[in-house]
Amino acid sequence: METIKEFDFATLSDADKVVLYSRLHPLYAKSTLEVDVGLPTGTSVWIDCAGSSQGHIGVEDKTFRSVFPTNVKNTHFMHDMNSILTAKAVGKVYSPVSVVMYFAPFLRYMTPEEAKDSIHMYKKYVSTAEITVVIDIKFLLFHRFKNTNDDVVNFLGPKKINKFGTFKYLLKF
Amino acid sequence: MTLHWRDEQRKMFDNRELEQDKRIKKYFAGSRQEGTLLYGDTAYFNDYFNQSQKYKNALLVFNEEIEAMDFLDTIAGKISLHPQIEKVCIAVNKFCIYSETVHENIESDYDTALVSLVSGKLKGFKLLEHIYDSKLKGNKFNFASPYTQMYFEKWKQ
Repeated sequence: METIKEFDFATLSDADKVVLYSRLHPLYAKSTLEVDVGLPTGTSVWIDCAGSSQGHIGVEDKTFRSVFPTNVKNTHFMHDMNSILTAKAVGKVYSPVSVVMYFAPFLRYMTPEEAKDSIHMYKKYVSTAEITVVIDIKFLLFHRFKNTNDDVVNFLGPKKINKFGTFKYLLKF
Repeated sequence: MTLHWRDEQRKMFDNRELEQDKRIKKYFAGSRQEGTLLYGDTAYFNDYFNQSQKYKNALLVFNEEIEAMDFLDTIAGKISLHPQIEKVCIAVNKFCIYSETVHENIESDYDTALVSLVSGKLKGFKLLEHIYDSKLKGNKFNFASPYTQMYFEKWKQ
């Protein structure tokens, strides 16, 4: 039988995209948070967080458009979460008091340097907001023998850290 | 019953076998009638190998969170208990490893350090092949079946 080496998300059927996305994102079709994110009162924009299931404004990657209902509310689709354009748009359109990245897939398979740049880009261009990042750093690319998990998280430069699993952290920026 | 993630992903591709699983089977094809020590996430291979406990082969698959020293000590411990083992495959999801303390004096490249440290725990074995991708992402089924594989064979006198 022929083997399979790799796949491209874009070529999957819609049903398979849902299976994969629901595995990829713990908030997909769920409303329970694994950790209390403790947000200030006011407009909150959730980036790459499986839509607006938390009752906030959702900003999602167009790659995943088909896994959401066609009439999904309070959710806006952009080309790339890791772009200045998206960060600037969030800041200008919503002027939110908080931005949340809750296990955001776009932060996966980045080096710590790339993840830091991306998070701080939102900090810069959405200057009205406190940035909350809930992250599973298992998915970051780093040398596991030369760095502890805490080393990596400290490198990201948060002002507050709450560890709630071997690789899981809630960070405030 | 919940499907193993491997089975869920294979369903998306006409149940085709994952490349890394096929590679394991190919390596042990000539010796699979001998007893094989199976450790970790190996249920998929149960029917492929002889269940004899006179081990000549060892397949260790690490696909859960594990501290680095525990990982290395597990390999050394399992293999050293069975000196008659001749062929070893270590498959590891490299994203699942973490360290409690920083390790000095090791290679600066993670994949190179990983194979070097594992090799160091398998005295008397030579490394035949090391499969890895330094830019591994989610599209190679790594969480279904670990992509990083190291194949060893006992040095012959």
